[in-house]
Amino acid sequence: MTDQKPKILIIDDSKFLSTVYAEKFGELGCDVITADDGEEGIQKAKNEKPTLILLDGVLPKMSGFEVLETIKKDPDTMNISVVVLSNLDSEKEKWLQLGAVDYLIKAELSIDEISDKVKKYLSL
Amino acid sequence: MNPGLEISLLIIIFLLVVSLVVLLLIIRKKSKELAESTSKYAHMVAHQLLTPLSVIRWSAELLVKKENLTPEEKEFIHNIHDNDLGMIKTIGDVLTIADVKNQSLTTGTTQINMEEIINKVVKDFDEAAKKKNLQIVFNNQTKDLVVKKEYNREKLQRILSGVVENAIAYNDKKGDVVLTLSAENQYVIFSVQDTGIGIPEKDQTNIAKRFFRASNAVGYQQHGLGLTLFMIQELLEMCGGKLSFESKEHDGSTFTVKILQQ
Repeated sequence: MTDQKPKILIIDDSKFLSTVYAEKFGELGCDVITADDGEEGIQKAKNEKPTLILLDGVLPKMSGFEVLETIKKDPDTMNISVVVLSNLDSEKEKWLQLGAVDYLIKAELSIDEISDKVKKYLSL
Repeated sequence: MNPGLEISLLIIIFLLVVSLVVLLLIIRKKSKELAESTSKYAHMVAHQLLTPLSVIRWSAELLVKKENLTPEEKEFIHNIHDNDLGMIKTIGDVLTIADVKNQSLTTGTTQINMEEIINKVVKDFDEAAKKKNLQIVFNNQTKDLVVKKEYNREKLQRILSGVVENAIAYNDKKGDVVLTLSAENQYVIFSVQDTGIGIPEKDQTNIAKRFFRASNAVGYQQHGLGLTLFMIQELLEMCGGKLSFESKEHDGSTFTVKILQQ
Protein backbone atom coordinates (compact mmCIF):
# COMPACT_ATOMS: atom_id res chain seq x y z
CA MET A 1 0.00 0.00 0.00
CA THR A 2 2.98 2.33 0.43
CA ASP A 3 2.96 2.93 -3.33
CA GLN A 4 -0.44 4.59 -2.91
CA LYS A 5 1.06 7.47 -0.91
CA PRO A 6 0.59 10.85 -2.61
CA LYS A 7 3.87 12.24 -3.84
CA ILE A 8 4.62 15.98 -3.69
CA LEU A 9 7.43 17.59 -5.66
CA ILE A 10 8.69 20.87 -4.21
CA ILE A 11 10.61 23.12 -6.60
CA ASP A 12 12.14 25.85 -4.43
CA ASP A 13 15.67 27.23 -4.18
CA SER A 14 15.35 27.82 -0.42
CA LYS A 15 16.57 24.67 1.30
CA PHE A 16 15.13 25.97 4.58
CA LEU A 17 11.64 26.24 3.09
CA SER A 18 11.92 22.81 1.49
CA THR A 19 12.80 21.36 4.91
CA VAL A 20 9.73 22.97 6.47
CA TYR A 21 7.45 21.71 3.66
CA ALA A 22 8.95 18.21 3.98
CA GLU A 23 8.24 18.13 7.72
CA LYS A 24 4.65 19.36 7.33
CA PHE A 25 3.66 17.23 4.34
CA GLY A 26 5.36 14.22 5.89
CA GLU A 27 2.76 14.61 8.67
CA LEU A 28 0.05 14.27 6.01
CA GLY A 29 1.50 10.92 5.01
CA CYS A 30 2.95 12.17 1.72
CA ASP A 31 6.23 11.33 0.07
CA VAL A 32 8.12 14.56 -0.46
CA ILE A 33 10.77 15.10 -3.10
CA THR A 34 12.60 18.37 -3.66
CA ALA A 35 14.36 20.21 -6.47
CA ASP A 36 16.53 23.33 -6.07
CA ASP A 37 15.95 24.78 -9.53
CA GLY A 38 13.65 24.59 -12.52
CA GLU A 39 15.70 22.18 -14.65
CA GLU A 40 16.00 19.67 -11.82
CA GLY A 41 12.29 20.17 -11.08
CA ILE A 42 11.22 19.41 -14.66
CA GLN A 43 13.41 16.30 -14.74
CA LYS A 44 12.02 15.03 -11.42
CA ALA A 45 8.45 15.76 -12.57
CA LYS A 46 9.03 13.50 -15.61
CA ASN A 47 10.80 10.73 -13.70
CA GLU A 48 8.89 10.66 -10.43
CA LYS A 49 5.37 11.53 -11.69
CA PRO A 50 4.30 13.35 -8.51
CA THR A 51 0.63 13.88 -7.62
CA LEU A 52 1.19 17.57 -6.96
CA ILE A 53 3.93 20.11 -7.65
CA LEU A 54 4.57 23.14 -5.44
CA LEU A 55 6.46 25.64 -7.57
CA ASP A 56 8.28 28.70 -6.25
CA GLY A 57 7.50 31.72 -8.42
CA VAL A 58 11.03 33.13 -8.39
CA LEU A 59 13.77 30.64 -9.24
CA PRO A 60 17.42 30.83 -10.36
CA LYS A 61 18.34 29.76 -13.93
CA MET A 62 14.95 29.03 -15.56
CA SER A 63 12.16 31.34 -14.44
CA GLY A 64 9.09 29.95 -12.71
CA PHE A 65 6.99 30.83 -15.78
CA GLU A 66 9.28 28.80 -18.07
CA VAL A 67 9.15 25.83 -15.68
CA LEU A 68 5.34 25.88 -15.57
CA GLU A 69 5.07 26.25 -19.36
CA THR A 70 7.43 23.31 -19.91
CA ILE A 71 5.55 21.10 -17.46
CA LYS A 72 2.18 21.98 -19.03
CA LYS A 73 3.42 21.35 -22.60
CA ASP A 74 4.95 17.93 -21.96
CA PRO A 75 2.38 15.10 -22.31
CA ASP A 76 4.22 13.18 -19.53
CA THR A 77 3.64 15.96 -16.98
CA MET A 78 0.80 18.13 -18.27
CA ASN A 79 -1.85 16.53 -16.03
CA ILE A 80 0.05 17.08 -12.79
CA SER A 81 -1.55 19.83 -10.64
CA VAL A 82 0.82 22.72 -10.01
CA VAL A 83 0.36 25.17 -7.12
CA VAL A 84 2.51 28.30 -7.36
CA LEU A 85 3.87 29.67 -4.11
CA SER A 86 5.40 33.11 -4.28
CA ASN A 87 6.09 36.11 -2.14
CA LEU A 88 5.18 38.61 -4.82
CA ASP A 89 1.59 39.70 -4.96
CA SER A 90 1.56 40.01 -8.73
CA GLU A 91 0.76 38.29 -12.01
CA LYS A 92 -1.65 35.81 -10.46
CA GLU A 93 -3.75 35.80 -13.63
CA LYS A 94 -0.73 34.94 -15.79
CA TRP A 95 0.11 31.94 -13.60
CA LEU A 96 -3.48 30.67 -13.72
CA GLN A 97 -3.65 31.14 -17.50
CA LEU A 98 -0.47 29.08 -17.87
CA GLY A 99 -2.19 26.21 -16.06
CA ALA A 100 -1.46 26.58 -12.34
CA VAL A 101 -4.39 25.42 -10.16
CA ASP A 102 -3.68 28.06 -7.52
CA TYR A 103 -1.38 30.95 -6.69
CA LEU A 104 -0.55 31.44 -3.02
CA ILE A 105 1.47 34.15 -1.29
CA LYS A 106 3.72 32.38 1.18
CA ALA A 107 4.20 35.06 3.82
CA GLU A 108 0.45 35.69 4.10
CA LEU A 109 -0.43 32.10 5.02
CA SER A 110 0.35 29.93 8.02
CA ILE A 111 1.88 26.52 7.40
CA ASP A 112 -1.47 24.95 8.43
CA GLU A 113 -3.29 27.02 5.80
CA ILE A 114 -0.79 25.89 3.15
CA SER A 115 -1.26 22.33 4.33
CA ASP A 116 -5.08 22.65 4.05
CA LYS A 117 -4.72 23.83 0.45
CA VAL A 118 -2.39 20.94 -0.35
CA LYS A 119 -4.85 18.46 1.20
CA LYS A 120 -7.60 19.92 -0.99
CA TYR A 121 -5.58 19.42 -4.18
CA LEU A 122 -4.57 15.93 -3.12
CA SER A 123 -8.23 15.17 -2.26
CA LEU A 124 -7.15 13.97 1.19
CA MET B 1 9.86 97.50 -34.08
CA ASN B 2 11.76 96.20 -37.08
CA PRO B 3 9.52 93.49 -38.72
CA GLY B 4 12.61 91.27 -39.25
CA LEU B 5 13.47 91.53 -35.55
CA GLU B 6 9.87 90.79 -34.60
CA ILE B 7 9.87 87.58 -36.70
CA SER B 8 13.25 86.58 -35.24
CA LEU B 9 11.90 87.12 -31.72
CA LEU B 10 8.79 85.08 -32.51
CA ILE B 11 10.95 82.27 -33.91
CA ILE B 12 13.18 82.36 -30.81
CA ILE B 13 10.14 82.29 -28.52
CA PHE B 14 8.64 79.44 -30.55
CA LEU B 15 11.92 77.48 -30.36
CA LEU B 16 12.16 78.11 -26.62
CA VAL B 17 8.62 76.84 -26.06
CA VAL B 18 9.27 73.74 -28.20
CA SER B 19 12.55 73.07 -26.31
CA LEU B 20 10.77 73.46 -22.98
CA VAL B 21 8.02 71.03 -24.00
CA VAL B 22 10.61 68.50 -25.25
CA LEU B 23 12.58 68.90 -22.00
CA LEU B 24 9.45 68.35 -19.90
CA LEU B 25 8.57 65.26 -21.92
CA ILE B 26 12.10 63.88 -21.41
CA ILE B 27 11.96 64.58 -17.64
CA ARG B 28 8.55 62.92 -17.42
CA LYS B 29 9.78 59.83 -19.29
CA LYS B 30 12.92 59.62 -17.12
CA SER B 31 10.95 59.93 -13.86
CA LYS B 32 8.56 57.25 -15.07
CA GLU B 33 11.52 54.97 -15.89
CA LEU B 34 13.08 55.72 -12.50
CA ALA B 35 9.79 55.00 -10.71
CA GLU B 36 9.44 51.72 -12.61
CA SER B 37 12.98 50.56 -11.86
CA THR B 38 12.61 51.57 -8.18
CA SER B 39 9.38 49.60 -7.97
CA LYS B 40 11.02 46.55 -9.61
CA TYR B 41 13.98 46.80 -7.24
CA ALA B 42 11.67 47.16 -4.22
CA HIS B 43 9.82 43.99 -5.27
CA MET B 44 13.03 41.99 -5.63
CA VAL B 45 14.31 43.17 -2.22
CA ALA B 46 10.93 42.36 -0.69
CA HIS B 47 11.07 38.84 -2.12
CA GLN B 48 14.55 38.35 -0.71
CA LEU B 49 13.35 39.46 2.73
CA LEU B 50 10.02 37.64 2.73
CA THR B 51 11.48 34.21 1.96
CA PRO B 52 13.52 33.94 5.20
CA LEU B 53 10.66 35.57 7.12
CA SER B 54 8.32 32.83 5.82
CA VAL B 55 10.85 30.20 6.93
CA ILE B 56 10.96 31.74 10.43
CA ARG B 57 7.14 31.99 10.60
CA TRP B 58 6.49 28.40 9.53
CA SER B 59 9.35 26.97 11.62
CA ALA B 60 7.94 28.69 14.70
CA GLU B 61 4.47 27.30 13.89
CA LEU B 62 5.86 23.75 13.63
CA LEU B 63 8.11 24.12 16.66
CA VAL B 64 5.42 25.37 19.05
CA LYS B 65 3.45 22.14 18.48
CA LYS B 66 6.34 19.93 19.64
CA GLU B 67 5.81 18.00 22.83
CA ASN B 68 7.50 18.67 26.18
CA LEU B 69 7.97 22.40 25.70
CA THR B 70 7.89 24.47 28.88
CA PRO B 71 5.48 27.44 29.02
CA GLU B 72 8.53 29.72 28.92
CA GLU B 73 9.85 28.07 25.76
CA LYS B 74 6.41 28.37 24.15
CA GLU B 75 6.34 32.04 25.06
CA PHE B 76 9.70 32.60 23.35
CA ILE B 77 8.47 30.84 20.22
CA HIS B 78 5.30 32.97 20.23
CA ASN B 79 7.48 36.08 20.50
CA ILE B 80 9.55 34.98 17.50
CA HIS B 81 6.36 34.25 15.55
CA ASP B 82 4.57 37.51 16.41
CA ASN B 83 7.57 39.72 15.68
CA ASP B 84 8.14 37.89 12.42
CA LEU B 85 4.52 38.51 11.40
CA GLY B 86 4.99 42.18 12.30
CA MET B 87 7.96 42.41 9.93
CA ILE B 88 6.05 40.64 7.14
CA LYS B 89 3.21 43.10 7.55
CA THR B 90 5.50 46.13 7.54
CA ILE B 91 7.19 44.95 4.33
CA GLY B 92 3.75 44.44 2.75
CA ASP B 93 2.65 47.95 3.76
CA VAL B 94 5.89 49.57 2.53
CA LEU B 95 5.61 47.74 -0.80
CA THR B 96 2.01 48.75 -1.25
CA ILE B 97 2.83 52.38 -0.53
CA ALA B 98 6.00 52.42 -2.68
CA ASP B 99 3.92 51.18 -5.56
CA VAL B 100 0.56 52.65 -4.64
CA LYS B 101 0.04 54.54 -7.90
CA ASN B 102 0.49 51.32 -9.89
CA GLN B 103 -1.67 49.30 -7.53
CA SER B 104 -5.32 48.90 -7.84
CA LEU B 105 -7.84 47.39 -5.53
CA THR B 106 -9.86 46.41 -8.56
CA THR B 107 -7.53 44.06 -10.41
CA GLY B 108 -9.15 40.85 -9.25
CA THR B 109 -11.32 38.59 -11.31
CA THR B 110 -13.29 36.81 -8.65
CA GLN B 111 -16.33 38.15 -6.89
CA ILE B 112 -15.86 38.26 -3.16
CA ASN B 113 -18.15 36.91 -0.47
CA MET B 114 -17.80 39.49 2.29
CA GLU B 115 -18.84 37.23 5.16
CA GLU B 116 -16.22 34.67 4.16
CA ILE B 117 -13.38 37.21 3.94
CA ILE B 118 -14.32 38.82 7.30
CA ASN B 119 -14.48 35.43 9.00
CA LYS B 120 -10.95 34.80 7.72
CA VAL B 121 -9.78 38.14 9.17
CA VAL B 122 -11.43 37.31 12.53
CA LYS B 123 -9.69 33.92 12.54
CA ASP B 124 -6.32 35.55 11.77
CA PHE B 125 -6.64 37.84 14.79
CA ASP B 126 -8.05 35.24 17.18
CA GLU B 127 -4.70 34.65 18.90
CA ALA B 128 -3.86 38.36 19.22
CA ALA B 129 -7.32 39.09 20.68
CA LYS B 130 -7.03 36.24 23.20
CA LYS B 131 -3.71 37.62 24.44
CA LYS B 132 -5.44 40.86 25.48
CA ASN B 133 -8.64 39.13 26.61
CA LEU B 134 -10.52 40.97 23.91
CA GLN B 135 -13.78 39.78 22.51
CA ILE B 136 -14.26 40.07 18.76
CA VAL B 137 -17.91 40.17 17.73
CA PHE B 138 -18.97 40.01 14.09
CA ASN B 139 -22.36 41.55 13.54
CA ASN B 140 -23.41 40.65 10.01
CA GLN B 141 -26.45 42.64 8.89
CA THR B 142 -26.36 41.17 5.39
CA LYS B 143 -26.95 37.72 4.00
CA ASP B 144 -24.58 36.07 1.51
CA LEU B 145 -23.35 39.48 0.39
CA VAL B 146 -21.24 38.99 -2.72
CA VAL B 147 -19.59 42.12 -4.09
CA LYS B 148 -20.21 42.35 -7.82
CA LYS B 149 -17.31 44.72 -8.49
CA GLU B 150 -14.15 42.69 -9.00
CA TYR B 151 -11.76 43.55 -6.19
CA ASN B 152 -8.32 42.10 -5.57
CA ARG B 153 -8.97 39.66 -2.74
CA GLU B 154 -5.56 39.98 -1.04
CA LYS B 155 -5.65 43.77 -1.05
CA LEU B 156 -9.22 43.94 0.21
CA GLN B 157 -8.26 41.53 2.98
CA ARG B 158 -5.24 43.72 3.81
CA ILE B 159 -7.55 46.73 4.17
CA LEU B 160 -10.00 44.94 6.46
CA SER B 161 -7.14 43.38 8.46
CA GLY B 162 -5.47 46.78 8.86
CA VAL B 163 -8.55 48.28 10.50
CA VAL B 164 -9.09 45.27 12.79
CA GLU B 165 -5.41 45.17 13.71
CA ASN B 166 -5.50 48.78 14.90
CA ALA B 167 -8.67 48.09 16.91
CA ILE B 168 -6.82 45.28 18.72
CA ALA B 169 -3.47 47.06 19.10
CA TYR B 170 -4.94 50.22 20.62
CA ASN B 171 -7.68 48.56 22.68
CA ASP B 172 -7.68 48.21 26.44
CA LYS B 173 -7.34 44.73 27.93
CA LYS B 174 -10.68 42.90 28.25
CA GLY B 175 -12.24 45.29 25.76
CA ASP B 176 -14.45 44.63 22.77
CA VAL B 177 -13.96 44.82 19.03
CA VAL B 178 -17.26 44.92 17.17
CA LEU B 179 -17.19 44.31 13.42
CA THR B 180 -20.31 45.28 11.51
CA LEU B 181 -21.05 44.48 7.89
CA SER B 182 -23.93 46.23 6.18
CA ALA B 183 -24.99 47.44 2.75
CA GLU B 184 -26.47 50.79 1.88
CA ASN B 185 -27.36 52.10 -1.57
CA GLN B 186 -24.40 51.25 -3.80
CA TYR B 187 -21.94 50.70 -0.92
CA VAL B 188 -20.73 47.81 1.21
CA ILE B 189 -19.99 49.18 4.66
CA PHE B 190 -17.56 47.53 7.07
CA SER B 191 -17.08 49.20 10.42
CA VAL B 192 -14.89 48.31 13.38
CA GLN B 193 -15.66 49.72 16.79
CA ASP B 194 -13.19 49.37 19.65
CA THR B 195 -13.10 50.28 23.33
CA GLY B 196 -9.52 51.52 23.26
CA ILE B 197 -7.46 54.63 23.83
CA GLY B 198 -9.16 56.69 21.10
CA ILE B 199 -7.54 59.48 19.08
CA PRO B 200 -6.93 62.90 20.67
CA GLU B 201 -8.89 65.62 18.88
CA LYS B 202 -5.73 67.52 17.90
CA ASP B 203 -4.41 64.45 16.02
CA GLN B 204 -7.59 63.54 14.18
CA THR B 205 -6.97 65.55 11.00
CA ASN B 206 -3.55 63.93 10.54
CA ILE B 207 -4.42 60.34 11.41
CA ALA B 208 -4.36 58.94 7.87
CA LYS B 209 -1.25 60.84 6.79
CA ARG B 210 1.88 58.90 5.86
CA PHE B 211 4.09 58.04 8.89
CA PHE B 212 1.77 59.87 11.31
CA ARG B 213 1.03 58.26 14.67
CA ALA B 214 -1.26 59.80 17.27
CA SER B 215 0.50 61.25 20.31
CA ASN B 216 -1.09 58.70 22.67
CA ALA B 217 -0.42 55.77 20.26
CA VAL B 218 3.38 56.04 20.34
CA GLY B 219 3.60 55.49 24.09
CA TYR B 220 0.92 52.78 24.07
CA GLN B 221 2.31 50.59 21.31
CA GLN B 222 5.95 50.90 20.31
CA HIS B 223 5.71 49.02 17.01
CA GLY B 224 4.21 50.71 14.00
CA LEU B 225 5.32 53.06 11.29
CA GLY B 226 2.07 54.95 10.83
CA LEU B 227 1.54 53.54 7.35
CA THR B 228 -1.52 51.32 7.66
CA LEU B 229 -4.28 53.94 7.57
CA PHE B 230 -2.46 55.88 4.86
CA MET B 231 -2.23 52.75 2.71
CA ILE B 232 -5.91 51.91 3.32
CA GLN B 233 -7.03 55.41 2.42
CA GLU B 234 -4.94 55.52 -0.78
CA LEU B 235 -6.20 52.14 -2.00
CA LEU B 236 -9.83 52.99 -1.23
CA GLU B 237 -9.79 56.42 -2.83
CA MET B 238 -8.50 54.99 -6.11
CA CYS B 239 -11.62 52.89 -6.54
CA GLY B 240 -14.33 55.21 -5.26
CA GLY B 241 -14.19 53.89 -1.69
CA LYS B 242 -13.77 55.82 1.52
CA LEU B 243 -12.23 55.52 4.99
CA SER B 244 -13.80 57.51 7.82
CA PHE B 245 -13.74 57.42 11.61
CA GLU B 246 -15.27 58.74 14.78
CA SER B 247 -13.21 58.81 17.92
CA LYS B 248 -12.88 60.28 21.38
CA GLU B 249 -9.74 60.03 23.49
CA HIS B 250 -10.05 57.32 26.19
CA ASP B 251 -13.38 56.31 24.74
CA GLY B 252 -12.61 54.17 21.69
CA SER B 253 -12.83 54.62 17.95
CA THR B 254 -15.02 53.43 15.11
CA PHE B 255 -13.38 53.12 11.71
CA THR B 256 -15.58 52.65 8.66
CA VAL B 257 -14.55 51.31 5.26
CA LYS B 258 -16.94 51.92 2.36
CA ILE B 259 -16.51 50.23 -1.00
CA LEU B 260 -18.68 50.26 -4.09
CA GLN B 261 -20.77 47.13 -4.58
CA GLN B 262 -20.59 47.25 -8.36
